Amino acid sequence: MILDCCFSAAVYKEFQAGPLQASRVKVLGALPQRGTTLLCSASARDPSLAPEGLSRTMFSECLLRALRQGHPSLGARLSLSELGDLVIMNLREAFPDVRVQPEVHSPDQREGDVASIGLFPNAAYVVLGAEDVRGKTEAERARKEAQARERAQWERAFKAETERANKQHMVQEVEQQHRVERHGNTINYSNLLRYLLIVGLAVAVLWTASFFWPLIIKSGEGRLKAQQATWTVEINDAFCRNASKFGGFRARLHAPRELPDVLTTAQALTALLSQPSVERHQANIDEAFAFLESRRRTVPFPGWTYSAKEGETATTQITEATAPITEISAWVAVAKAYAIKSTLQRSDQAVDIARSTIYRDLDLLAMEQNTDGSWSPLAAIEQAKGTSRTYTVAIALWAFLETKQTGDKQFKSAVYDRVIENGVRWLLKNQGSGGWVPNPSRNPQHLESYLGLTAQVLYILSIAEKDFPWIGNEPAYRNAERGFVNRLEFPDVNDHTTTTNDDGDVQWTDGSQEKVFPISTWTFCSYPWTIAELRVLTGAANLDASTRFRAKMKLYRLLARFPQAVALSSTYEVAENLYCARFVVGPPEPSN
Amino acid sequence: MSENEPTPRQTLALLLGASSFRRAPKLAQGRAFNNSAQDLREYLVGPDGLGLPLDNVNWLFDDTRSPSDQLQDIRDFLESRSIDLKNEGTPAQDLIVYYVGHGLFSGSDQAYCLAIRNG
Repeated sequence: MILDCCFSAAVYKEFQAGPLQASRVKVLGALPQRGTTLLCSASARDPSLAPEGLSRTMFSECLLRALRQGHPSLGARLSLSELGDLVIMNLREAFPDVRVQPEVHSPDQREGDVASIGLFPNAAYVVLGAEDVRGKTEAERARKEAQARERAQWERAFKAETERANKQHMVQEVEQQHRVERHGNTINYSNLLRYLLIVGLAVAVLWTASFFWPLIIKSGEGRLKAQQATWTVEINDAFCRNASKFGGFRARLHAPRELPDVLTTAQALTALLSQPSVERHQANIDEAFAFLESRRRTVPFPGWTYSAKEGETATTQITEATAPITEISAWVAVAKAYAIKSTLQRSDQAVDIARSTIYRDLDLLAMEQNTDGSWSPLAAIEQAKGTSRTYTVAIALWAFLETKQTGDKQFKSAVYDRVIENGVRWLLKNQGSGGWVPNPSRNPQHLESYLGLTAQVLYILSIAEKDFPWIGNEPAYRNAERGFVNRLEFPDVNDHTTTTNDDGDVQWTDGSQEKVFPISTWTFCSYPWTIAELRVLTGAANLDASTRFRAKMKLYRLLARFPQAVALSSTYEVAENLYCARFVVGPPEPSN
Repeated sequence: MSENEPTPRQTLALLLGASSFRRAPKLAQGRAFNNSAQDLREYLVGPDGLGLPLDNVNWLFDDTRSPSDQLQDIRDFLESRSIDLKNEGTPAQDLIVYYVGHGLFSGSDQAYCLAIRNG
């Protein structure tokens, strides 16, 4: 068996047992019974080489040379063992610098070592009469001459090929130099014409594009604006009136029998309250805030959980099921901050609830902050405190920032400011190499950066920067912004395959099978927060002009293809899109 | 000539390997692989080489079939040639297997594999 491939001697081990068994059983009966010998091009640790300029692989080149030329001092037939020695000899002669060495192994020796059985005719072997000494000398001389001639010819061809390649390279370099010199002294009219033509074409393309590009952007903006109206209607349709005593928003759109939940309600409220003219939704908003309060647990620990359902029996034991979820409490606080900032005209019920309870909620969040500035999703469970999650930190921080930005004097607090600054420092410190990762303290999640999560974190930091100017001077922040713009790519939703990675996260692989986009949730997938953050970056005064320009171009690219054919099925997806779209196209058209 | 001395008529050969790997684009494609396999085949069947009868050589280099189909082909080839040669009074004695291409360690157990074209 002759193997010409990387690590080929590794097959010796495989030959003993294991994976080879299946194929062995399939062909064993048909194999000759003497034994087996392997002639391998490389050891189990070395690659096999096929240098450029050589028409065959290095090993096969030397193998064929050994088979075609043989060796005068060997017998009439060459064994695999002798063939191996000849190949090594040829390799050393032709490629003295190469360290790869073929190996001969005999894994199966049931009738002796077949490596020593003569199999291939030795081309250099000559049968001689015992007394024909003169003939022998002449034959040997002729053989040696022929061998030397052939070897010299082979070496000449090899050298000539190398020289030819070198010469060609030199000629190209010289020509290039001449071209440069010629251009320095005289005008090459044909080249000049060519350049003029190229420049002319480029100008024509840009001129044409200057007409169409704004139209494409405008049409993207138009689609986004129209979408805002649809999203507003969809969110309102997800409102579940009088589900029990008060109504809230249900998690899925178009699922009329589903009951509302706290997280979706807080997200929907934030989206609706971020729009102008919210009076139209006043009744729903009032009821939704009452719903949030009615679902708040006080035992065993204050806050909101995913399973906060009406009539659920309170328990005194804190478990993963009964422990409040930090980001839900944070989302509720964000919604309340927007209620305080909004311009509600008809009734102050929602604002009253928000004002009277936001202190309580923020104090709890401040208390739950870890000493390193982070938050854990299950802060009430002592052992969960080490498992900080980027998303939880970002939303908790956002709650404090939005409250601070209400401008209301009663929410100005040195304690809250310290909470914010510690949270910001943790975020800046805990980035992955490609942006923010969901769980920096867990393996392997700490390796995967999500563009959508990065966009959301950067957006929240940009809000913080307004009140804490020192953030703008942090290199970790500016580098993260630049890195985000540079790395930003948009998966083609029309040409992808959906797979699941080892961690159970859904990911998209694009049509060319080259790029993978992890998308554990819509937020992480990217668009809404990417739109918001790109818009922020286009106007970021502290950022260099080139990054601002690239951010603008990427925003246009995103707009030109917006909205792509992604069917939204969850209320929170619609809420995040509605919240973020206003950064680009302003407030939605009022819909009745 | 002793009973077990190799003869071209009683020697079979399998030529395996690939010069392109459609399902593994990261593996380098190799014209050198193709040339090596072709030249070795020429040596095996050429009158100034080993001089094997053409029927004794099974060329599976750059074969596009699946590994199991190729394995079945190898079995069929070895069986039918063994029977024919036995009937002719010159039973098959030796088998030369030549592979040129990419060898790699794959899977969770890092088993050594020889890549073929497969599609």
